[in-house]
Amino acid sequence: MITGLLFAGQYYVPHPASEQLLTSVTKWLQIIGGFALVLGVTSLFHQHAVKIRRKEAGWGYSLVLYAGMLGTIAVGFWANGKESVDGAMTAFGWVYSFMMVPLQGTMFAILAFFIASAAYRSFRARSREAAVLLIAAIIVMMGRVPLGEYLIPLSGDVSQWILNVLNASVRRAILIGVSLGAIALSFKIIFGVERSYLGGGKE
Amino acid sequence: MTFAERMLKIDRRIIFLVIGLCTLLPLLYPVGLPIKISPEVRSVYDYMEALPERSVFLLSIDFDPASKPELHPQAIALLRHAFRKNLRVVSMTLWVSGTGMADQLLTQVAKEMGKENGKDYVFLGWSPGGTAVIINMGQDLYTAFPSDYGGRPTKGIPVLEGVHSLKDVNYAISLGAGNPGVEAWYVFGKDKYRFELGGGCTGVIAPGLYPLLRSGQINGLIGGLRGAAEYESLIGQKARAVAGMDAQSATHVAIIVLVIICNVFYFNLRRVPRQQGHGTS
Repeated sequence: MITGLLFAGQYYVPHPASEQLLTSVTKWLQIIGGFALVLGVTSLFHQHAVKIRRKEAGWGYSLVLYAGMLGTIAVGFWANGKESVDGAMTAFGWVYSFMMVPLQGTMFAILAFFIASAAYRSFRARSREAAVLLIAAIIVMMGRVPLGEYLIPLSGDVSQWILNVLNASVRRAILIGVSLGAIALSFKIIFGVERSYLGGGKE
Repeated sequence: MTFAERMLKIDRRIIFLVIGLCTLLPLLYPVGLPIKISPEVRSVYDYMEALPERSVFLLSIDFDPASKPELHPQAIALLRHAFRKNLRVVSMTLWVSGTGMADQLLTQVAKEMGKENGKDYVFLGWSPGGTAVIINMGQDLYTAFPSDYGGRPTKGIPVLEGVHSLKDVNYAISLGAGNPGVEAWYVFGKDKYRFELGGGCTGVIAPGLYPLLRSGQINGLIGGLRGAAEYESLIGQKARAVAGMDAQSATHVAIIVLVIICNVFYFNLRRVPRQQGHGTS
């Protein structure tokens, strides 16, 4: 509680001592962040080890994850964390450039195909609200590409208006609501009312 | 099964094929339709253009290879502009999986523009802590990054001369594909340390950043491949993003046509039982 209140107040105190305190604490946050990474990796290993041991559904994927992670960690240590040395690509750089980059790119690219298929199957004007959404989506999609602006010259300006006025005002309302909720939750955590983040079930 | 029913249950591989062709053909045979510049992209360009030589420009490459097709061209166009303007470029990433890609792209553009590492630019790499890194940089840059990506101590690097914290940055742009990204840079950086901030993001998260743009919390926004294409047009170096706009145009129009067709068949199907109902009564 003391730390929570102290750092909520620190933001409004520009005294050098207060700034020094913030510098030290953020340095600690970075150190803790580093250890959290180790904790996360260990937890992931543990979770998948259990899956492999019990031969749960999809345990083969866990084995692939183990092989991928251990292999990458090994070549990472071997290359001292460097992707290239004097312009020459290391094994770690090879794993990054020729495995991680294309795999992530492929996953993202596949989305375009599934979005098109999903749009065809489910984007229907079943109600008035759905019809409004459908029309707005078509205008924005047209207005965001040169061909759309070429076919319907007004679509660019209308799409800009939808994004700048309708979208921004609704988003802002959501943002204000979420922020107020976050402030309320922060106070509950600071004063010890909310403890679920510490783990454990209901007593 | 009626024709409309059959069309509504069309094999999804046909849709995949249509999208595939709409992406591939314009890339092979580009049309080159004119690209209209939006005010939010122009704001970023104008601000960069107005910066005096040797101003400090911070580019935070907050994305990983998954968002490369949209954000990589943005980063390249911004770096080309910054190097052409002789700005001091300080680059970093808040996404550990984007470190190698960020280093490659910075090195590639710097080489192309004849810039020297340490003198004209520096890549700080990644540091653990997520958003805490931004606060730490705001307090003391050298605590957040004691060494650059190559392992060289940051203190004493010529490009960082006179730069102690984020307060000494003239313009910062975060190219974000999620969290931490543009929003984090505003909340933990600009709001406290008072530097000008611009943003770049994937097309899908751009609408979520419009409230920040409208309130002046960010001075400009480059959204998706379209934003990158606009920036390439502004700096007069049309590259991958402009080439990709034809493919994006074709796929957008294809999806719109598919959605319209699906709705036509849907309404046709809804109409038939009603007519049958009237006929029997």
